[in-house]
Amino acid sequence: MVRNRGLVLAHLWVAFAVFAAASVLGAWQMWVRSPLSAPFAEPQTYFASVTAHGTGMAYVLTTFFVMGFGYFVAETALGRDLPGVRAAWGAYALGVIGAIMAVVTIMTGRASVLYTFYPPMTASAFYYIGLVLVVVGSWIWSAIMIIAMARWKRDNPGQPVPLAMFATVANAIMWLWTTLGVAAELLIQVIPAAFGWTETIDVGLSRTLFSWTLHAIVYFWLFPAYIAFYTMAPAAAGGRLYSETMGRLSFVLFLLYSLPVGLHHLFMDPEHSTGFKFIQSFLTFLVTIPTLLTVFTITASFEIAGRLRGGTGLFGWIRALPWDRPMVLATGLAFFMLWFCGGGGLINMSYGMNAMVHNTSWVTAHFHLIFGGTVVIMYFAIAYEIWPALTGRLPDAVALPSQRRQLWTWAIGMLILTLPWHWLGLNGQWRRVAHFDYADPAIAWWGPWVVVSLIGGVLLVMSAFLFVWNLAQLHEKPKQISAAAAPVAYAVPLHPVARVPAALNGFALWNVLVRVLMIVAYAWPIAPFAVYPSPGAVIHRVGGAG
Amino acid sequence: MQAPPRLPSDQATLELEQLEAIRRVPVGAAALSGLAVLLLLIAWLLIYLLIYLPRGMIG
Amino acid sequence: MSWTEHDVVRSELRWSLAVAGFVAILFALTLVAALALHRNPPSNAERIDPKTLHLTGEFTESNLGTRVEANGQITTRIVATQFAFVPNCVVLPEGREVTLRLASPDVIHGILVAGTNVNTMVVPGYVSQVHTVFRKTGDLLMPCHEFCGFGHSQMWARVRVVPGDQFRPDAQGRASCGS
Repeated sequence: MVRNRGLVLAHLWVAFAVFAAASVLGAWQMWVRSPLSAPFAEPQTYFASVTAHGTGMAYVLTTFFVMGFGYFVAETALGRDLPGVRAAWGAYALGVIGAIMAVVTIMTGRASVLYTFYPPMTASAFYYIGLVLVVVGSWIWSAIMIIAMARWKRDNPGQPVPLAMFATVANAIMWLWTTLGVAAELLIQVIPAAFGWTETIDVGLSRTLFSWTLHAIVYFWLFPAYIAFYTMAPAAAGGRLYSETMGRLSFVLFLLYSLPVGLHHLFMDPEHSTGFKFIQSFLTFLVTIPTLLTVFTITASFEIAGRLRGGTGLFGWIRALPWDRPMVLATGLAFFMLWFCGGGGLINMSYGMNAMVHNTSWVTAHFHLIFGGTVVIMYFAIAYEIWPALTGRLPDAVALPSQRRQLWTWAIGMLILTLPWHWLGLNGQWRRVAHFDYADPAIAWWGPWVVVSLIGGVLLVMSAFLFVWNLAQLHEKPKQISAAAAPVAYAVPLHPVARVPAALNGFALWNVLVRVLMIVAYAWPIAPFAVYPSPGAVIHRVGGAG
Repeated sequence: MQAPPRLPSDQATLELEQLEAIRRVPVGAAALSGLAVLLLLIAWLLIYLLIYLPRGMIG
Repeated sequence: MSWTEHDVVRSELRWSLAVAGFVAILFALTLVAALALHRNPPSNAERIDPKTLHLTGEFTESNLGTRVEANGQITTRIVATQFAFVPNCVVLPEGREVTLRLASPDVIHGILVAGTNVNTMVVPGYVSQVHTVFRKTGDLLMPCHEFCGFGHSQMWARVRVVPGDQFRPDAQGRASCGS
């Protein structure tokens, strides 16, 4: 039962409102990129929109969703009230203030540096400070998650921490580790430059510090989806989680191997040698493993459900699954998209092969499909699943088909948006372009495919608004049950575990290993910048006086 | 309107006939996941051989 | 088959081995490409001062473009700046190893050469160096592929790859698109 329903809802509504607004920007951007004439298509507007779309989707939607869902899990999985509720509301306030600061600076044209910052281009200091506030709020959330689990363990000695909470705390710890990079970059380098306290900046160092954050941050976004795969989807399907131990192991592997791999975002950078690029490429090959393990474990969990419902034969259990349940449908769609975007990721990480796709639309299409597709569709499913426990209102005969329709249009829209986009990237279409000269015969054939992606984008905007409408509709329904009585069905494992080894019930050992891995992976790449600073690049101010 | 009906499999322990029904697990999962990974391997190899290698040297 | 926990663990182990094998194959082929087939990320880790690179040294304007060095090495030097490449057309021969060297006096840029694997970031403070062999002739598009400001969309150059016999450097070893 969720005691702090207001806290959870406040976070989720900020996340989804920003998401809906940012989705409109995304579709407009694709219109500008296409051969069709779009309104307001000046570069200043386009790049402000790209910054807003990226900041909204990658920093606001995600952080607020992860925080809200984390508070939900902490109360329902542990069956007790959240500790530090006042601090949680304080964190929320910091996050909202920070998000508003960032949005205002972007909308006034003083922060067109894209969500990846790109020093020495420098925005208004208040853009970066706004994002720092969002991150500080999330650090407070991380502390609350860790404390909640620690207190539960103290009161339940020897008991296995419920999987959903174990995963949530793994995520919090991973987040604390990974934000060190971008925090260092912003606090030591970028914000002082934005205030005019320094005239130059070592771009190699700032890119390296940012890369520290870059990979694990996407797993921070992804964890709720995987928590839903392991702890909600098997229950929704009417089956069992095939192996809870594999779930714990997968989350631990993500914690270990999502962190020391950031250099794979810098494969094409001149400031690092092949040696450490290669080491981090090898570690990236390792981080594919927990996803591949998850694919099998969740499929087996669904197979249990399908066979329990009468499905037989090698694949007959698939059709027998309750696809009318949104959580089940979303999981199936997420896994289908995962084949494409996971495959794309395998190409990106394959060391020299990265040269084939770096900074082409292949990369943009990849992360739209994997984050916007596989991960965000599970955000929708989680929202639909937990809304009754948050509001005491249940979906009726009209609501469920609308939820399914929204999930289908999202998945189809994502595939229409991204599949041609991958293809154009492989054929050399490069990134962050406000205007393509389609008269050039070399690229004229791209035009129609960009229009196809635009159609996908329009479908996505419709789906985004349908999602918000679906949730709003649930608030309209009469209250049938008290929220306290609403079922929160976490999945039951096939073989319930009475005890788990300490290594899979806590993070003491893994924190040590993370420290070791980060030193091995990053100490040598970062040291030269401190010992032998490179000649700095001159600050280039964006917007305002610049 | 009531809460969604609880399925027979929602209870904590499985009946004997249910255990019999899931006897083949995870054969279907292994087949589906295995097929997906095999197709991934083929797709990666096709891109490696037909696009990446022909585009020439870089270093 | 899956009644006992032992069976579950055994099936997960089998799958883990299959997955590890799959990843190992990809890794091995990546290693082959790196060690035997000359496909590596360009990574020369060389520094340069962006504030003075146009004044002295390698990247002064008269030294840009394609030059055949005394030892026969073919090097093309390009400066990437907001919002043009200097020079914006370079000529190179097909079938011979060439080296591209790029630097930026201002912000981050990047290049790819369409239809090839040539790809690198150009980071102010560092010199980017790419070795390659062009396998086909033609006018190849070389756009700036990293956001560098509002003029980014109009920033590109051309790489003119000519058959070996049409690559005729002058007495100083220089070759340009005009000749």
